[in-house]
Amino acid sequence: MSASMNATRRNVLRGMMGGAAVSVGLPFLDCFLNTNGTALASGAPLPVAFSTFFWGCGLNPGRWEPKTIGANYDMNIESAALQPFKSRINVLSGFKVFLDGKGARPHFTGEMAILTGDVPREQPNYASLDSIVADTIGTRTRFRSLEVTGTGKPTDSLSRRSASVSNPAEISPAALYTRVFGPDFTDPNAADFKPDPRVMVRRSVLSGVTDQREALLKQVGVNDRQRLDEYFTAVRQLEQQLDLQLQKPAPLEACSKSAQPTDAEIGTEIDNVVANHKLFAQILAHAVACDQTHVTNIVFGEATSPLRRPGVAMTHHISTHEEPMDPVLGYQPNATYFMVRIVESLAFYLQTLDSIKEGDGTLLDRTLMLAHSETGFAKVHSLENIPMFIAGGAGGRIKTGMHIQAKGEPVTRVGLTIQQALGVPVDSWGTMSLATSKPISEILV
Amino acid sequence: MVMSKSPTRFFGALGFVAAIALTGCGPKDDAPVTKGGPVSLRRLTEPEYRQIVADVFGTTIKVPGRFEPDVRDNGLIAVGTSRESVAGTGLEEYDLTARGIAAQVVDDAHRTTLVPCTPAKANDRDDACATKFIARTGRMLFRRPMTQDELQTQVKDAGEAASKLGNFYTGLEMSVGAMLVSPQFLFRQEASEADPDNAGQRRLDAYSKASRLSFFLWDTTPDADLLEAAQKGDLDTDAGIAKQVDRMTNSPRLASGVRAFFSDMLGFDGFVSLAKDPQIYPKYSSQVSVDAQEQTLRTLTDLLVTNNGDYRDIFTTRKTYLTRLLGSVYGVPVMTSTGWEPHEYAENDPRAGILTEISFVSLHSHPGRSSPTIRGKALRQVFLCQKVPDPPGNVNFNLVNDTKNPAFHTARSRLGAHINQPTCAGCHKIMDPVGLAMENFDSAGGFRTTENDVAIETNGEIDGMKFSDAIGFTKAVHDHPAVPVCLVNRLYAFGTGRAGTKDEAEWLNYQTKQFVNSGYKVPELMRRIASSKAFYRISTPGTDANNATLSMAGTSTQTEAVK
Amino acid sequence: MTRFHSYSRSLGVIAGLALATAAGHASAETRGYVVSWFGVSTYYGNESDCPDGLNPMSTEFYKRELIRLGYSDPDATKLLKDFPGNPGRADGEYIKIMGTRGDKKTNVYAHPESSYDPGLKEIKGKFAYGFNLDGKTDSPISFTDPDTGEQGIKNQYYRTLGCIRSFRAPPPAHPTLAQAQWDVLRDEMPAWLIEISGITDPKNSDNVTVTISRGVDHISRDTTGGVRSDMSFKVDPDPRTHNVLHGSIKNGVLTTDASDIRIVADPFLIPEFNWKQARLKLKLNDDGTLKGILGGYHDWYALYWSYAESGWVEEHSASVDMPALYYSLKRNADAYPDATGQNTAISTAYEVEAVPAFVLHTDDKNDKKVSDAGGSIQVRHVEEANMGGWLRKLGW
Repeated sequence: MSASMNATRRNVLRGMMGGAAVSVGLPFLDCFLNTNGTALASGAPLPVAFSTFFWGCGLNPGRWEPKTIGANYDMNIESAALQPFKSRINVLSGFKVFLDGKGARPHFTGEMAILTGDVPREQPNYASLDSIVADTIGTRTRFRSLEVTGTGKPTDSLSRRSASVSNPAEISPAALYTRVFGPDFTDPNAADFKPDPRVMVRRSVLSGVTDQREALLKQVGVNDRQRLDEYFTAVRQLEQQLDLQLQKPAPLEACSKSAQPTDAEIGTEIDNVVANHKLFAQILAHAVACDQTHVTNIVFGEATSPLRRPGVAMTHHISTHEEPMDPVLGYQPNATYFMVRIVESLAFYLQTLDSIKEGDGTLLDRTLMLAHSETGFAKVHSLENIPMFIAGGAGGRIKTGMHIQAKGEPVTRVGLTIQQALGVPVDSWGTMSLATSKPISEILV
Repeated sequence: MVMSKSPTRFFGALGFVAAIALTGCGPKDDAPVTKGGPVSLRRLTEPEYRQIVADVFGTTIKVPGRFEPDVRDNGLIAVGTSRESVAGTGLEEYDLTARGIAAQVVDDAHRTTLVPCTPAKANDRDDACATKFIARTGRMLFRRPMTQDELQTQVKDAGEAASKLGNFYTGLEMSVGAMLVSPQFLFRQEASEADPDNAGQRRLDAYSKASRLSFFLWDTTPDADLLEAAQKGDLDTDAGIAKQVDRMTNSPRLASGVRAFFSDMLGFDGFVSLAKDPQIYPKYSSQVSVDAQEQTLRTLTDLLVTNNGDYRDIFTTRKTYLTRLLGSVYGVPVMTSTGWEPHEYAENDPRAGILTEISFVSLHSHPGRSSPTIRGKALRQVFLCQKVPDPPGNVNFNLVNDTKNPAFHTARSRLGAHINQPTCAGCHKIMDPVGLAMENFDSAGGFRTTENDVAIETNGEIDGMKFSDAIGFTKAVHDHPAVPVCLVNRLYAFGTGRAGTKDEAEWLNYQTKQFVNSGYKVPELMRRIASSKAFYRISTPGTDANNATLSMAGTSTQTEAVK
Repeated sequence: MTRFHSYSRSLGVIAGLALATAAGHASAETRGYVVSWFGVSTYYGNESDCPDGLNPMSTEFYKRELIRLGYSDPDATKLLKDFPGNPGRADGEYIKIMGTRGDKKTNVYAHPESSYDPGLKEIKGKFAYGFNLDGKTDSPISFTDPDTGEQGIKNQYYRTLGCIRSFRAPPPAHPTLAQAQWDVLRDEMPAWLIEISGITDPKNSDNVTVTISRGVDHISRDTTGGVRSDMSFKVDPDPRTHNVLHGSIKNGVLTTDASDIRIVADPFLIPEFNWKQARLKLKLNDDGTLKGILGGYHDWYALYWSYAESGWVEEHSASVDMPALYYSLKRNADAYPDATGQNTAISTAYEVEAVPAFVLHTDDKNDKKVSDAGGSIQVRHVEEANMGGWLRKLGW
């Protein structure tokens, strides 16, 4: 790239910044070309999406985590519904919560540690993982994030903007549908486009860096010149990314409204919860496909899982504590029934994301999903080996198909890995013994 | 302990040719003249980046984000940085980090202290105020005054951003963000100039000297005093250099430089990816590995800086520091609830010196078992600057991996069987007897006397010096002639960002002798290097014939010379 | 900073100790431990423990109470349907009904006698762990130790709790409620420490002293989630947290004479335990750990209140019908009668497990800041050789 072309681009930008109206088709020719210069950069990557799927009361230790570690694992009995997606899932076992002398609050501490990196004594002290991520990937969409909960209480949302601000959850699929695809929905393909002035400024300032190129290259030897050139190539890539943000977005072929839902009875009976979950899954997937949000959070059932079956007195939660272990099976049959239904629902969600085709891939490919519970063995509220899964390709930013066993490592490594994969500028995360600066490097690309 | 110093045994194993004895050594304080090396272009390491941000903007500014891993070359990341560049994803990370820092610099909590003036209007540009801030900040970040062009560009960009976004401070924020991703900041780019005192020779310019000095001694960007000395031309005189070196080596910040050097030399970056099997080593938590590194760095700075001790004593000192967590691994009581307390191993304790600490034995082990071979190799490479070849590609490791093989209870017996394979025997002879001395320490740093119920034998020899246990071994390392040679070479490379050249071998020999004669004092060695002409001399382009890097053989030549 | 000295774990010293012991003129040794598990002792047999069946689940006895209070079966079912967490309905309405189910106005947990006695199903089996606290073998309340066959065991607390589901678990599992409580507390409470001194032979020592005390440091865990062994713990200098017992070791099992034991705990479990005529039976395991039983008489009302103070929470989640518990404890109390003849204490037994630790003593007069982080700590002395950690490594 010549210095004069730099200057030209810079002036064009300056012009953009000065005027309000922007016409598409600025002479950014060099920016719009791919690196070979053979094609327009219309294959710009679709934005990465983040999703959480939470359920209460864990899974049975020894029955959900794969029996082998590393790649080529097979799902264990209770996770069997996920087997079709195993190459796109990382199973995370063995992570634990360190309490540092603070008491564990059953059905609260686990999810706080995973989502805020902290063990609060009373109220949460920090924003949740999805909010942190949304600050990076969700700032330019209509909804910074969307939250739903399956068991009927809007306060059962684990998403919080800060210590004091919680994002309430939708409890009704019909209401969620109206919120996303109702009158306020605008077709992403038809909307007028106004570039973000802050991005314009950043773009201009970055050109200032590029402008120094010639002067700097003159001062160094051949080998170092090559290294600096690599650096300036990286700068140019960053400029191109900003240029894309200043363009009118590409049409979203995969965008369509989901079907108008009819709610099942909202409550705790498992069949109804599953039916509503399926509706939620559809709406959320279509919302992401239409770029209405990049962050979605599903609470399948609250932490003290109130799920019930008709004719059985014990709820899921009570079963985990009170139901006798079946001496032959070696687990609690009623509690386990709910666990299997939950994992099936998670599999349905993955299936839904994967059914939305986008070019060569699917919505699942550009999603990073964290599915997790809050306790390892609910019978005793253990904070070890809390079931966690990471699914989807995150737009190529993570590797999947592995069983990561990290006995005794803090759960915060998972949150740190997710933040780093999604571009949150953070080098360590968590408080006290939960503080970690070690992402799960095996799965980071 | 029986010691037999046989040069043939010492060098024979590696096929060294013990060569040239040093001839023509001049008067005592008259160092040999070198031709110098090339100017370097070094990417900042993560610790350097963090320290600079703390020094320039204050410790309350968080450095968010992750950094590309550094590469190691000639035993040091400091040398590897002379080869590193920045790729696409790396720059994205730098950009995110830079914007995170920039936003903090101008936030309400910091702008009053960091911005030296108040704009005429907070919602518009004020070029005069912006110039003050940018010139001051840029001088610290670029380690030299900004050029007129650089300054004007930044002021203009900040001004336009301020008008566009309606906020003076946002303009500064954009400017700080840009400076933090600029090559002038991310790379320590040195410049040379003709040496007026020696016709035909070149030397670093004053600001490049200031940077070398500061990163070498303090592991950070030059402070205001040093930059001023550069500006006034003080650093172009021996007296001026000496004055700054005195100031800096007498400062408590020298410990930061020493810590940075040893973190690098000991390969502590390896802890990021170190894992131990939690079932086998339940005591080895992430925090233990963090504390273990800090323990060794405290041991080193306490001995070498605070007490100005003999460098070789790092292998034998019984003084160290512990936390309660480390106490549970070492099996000793620690009174301090949270934090560190000094500890002294008893006279008859099986531990002494940093080789027996958790950091060394755990870093150089497998996740589920110890490794005499890896430990032996690490000792030779890290402390003796010897190169041990990698194993051939087709080796069958089943035998050594199987710690439960009923035929071979201990690592010694497994390795004994393994090295019957002739392709392996040569190198294992160099590594294993050294590592076997430390077999009382398991992969996680715990002490043991048996493996699979069979007593562990720890006798062996290193280059002709025999020992019966780890303590004897550490004494043998203490007396190994390659130890001071290696340190001098490493420290010089750490400061210059390149391995010493063959041309510099004589000078390095000279410095090693001085180091030995001074009682192996590290601060004094750093002072000598930082005060020397060689440290700042730049080779003339086209006369690089002697710039071939000093190899292992070169090191051994020096070892001979010292002996 | 003052150093403690003469403390090492070198090969030489270990070898020296081993020699001294073998030669038979050893100086007495002290071992230190930190308690890693503590929970009410329950024997898990078979149906013969509870021939009347197990006690109902909370949902069942809540419905029984609702119907007794006059709700129709459909109304009671509706009220119970989604509790807790019935959408659109505050939990409070239901809680209020249950919390005043005695006389419809009084807090039934604080005033259990406002309710009738619903009748707790109790242990009628033969076996229980514990001690023969009153020395009688022919008493009708006597149990037999299932492992040793010892007769005359008194453990009326187990008789009360043993047929409640949350107190039943087949070994090696611990009963749910005890496990849940200890899981929370062991990270939260200052550690409980045990020192055994006067050990001349870990298998047989005639005269040992056992000190139970509270630490100022918390336990920490290892990477498997277990309690980290060989950690250092400072003893709380407050003498009220110290208990000294005398005993002996026979065949590797330590037993003590009767003594009062007071342990400051936590309201989540019980603010403090105060046992009368308490004793210990602890096996010194070859891996260096301790495992055994603490037994003694305890104020039964304090035990009742340790559950009832949480109101409906533990009643609901652990299915402990509080008025039924109250009447059962009152009925089964077996010692220390008051003026009316009502016994005020009940025989109890608790499981104790401990791992090796360094138990450190500081001068209580001058070490007020021992628990401060990072301050300079003046250590006056360290007890010699309380080194469970090492001896474990020797395979003792």
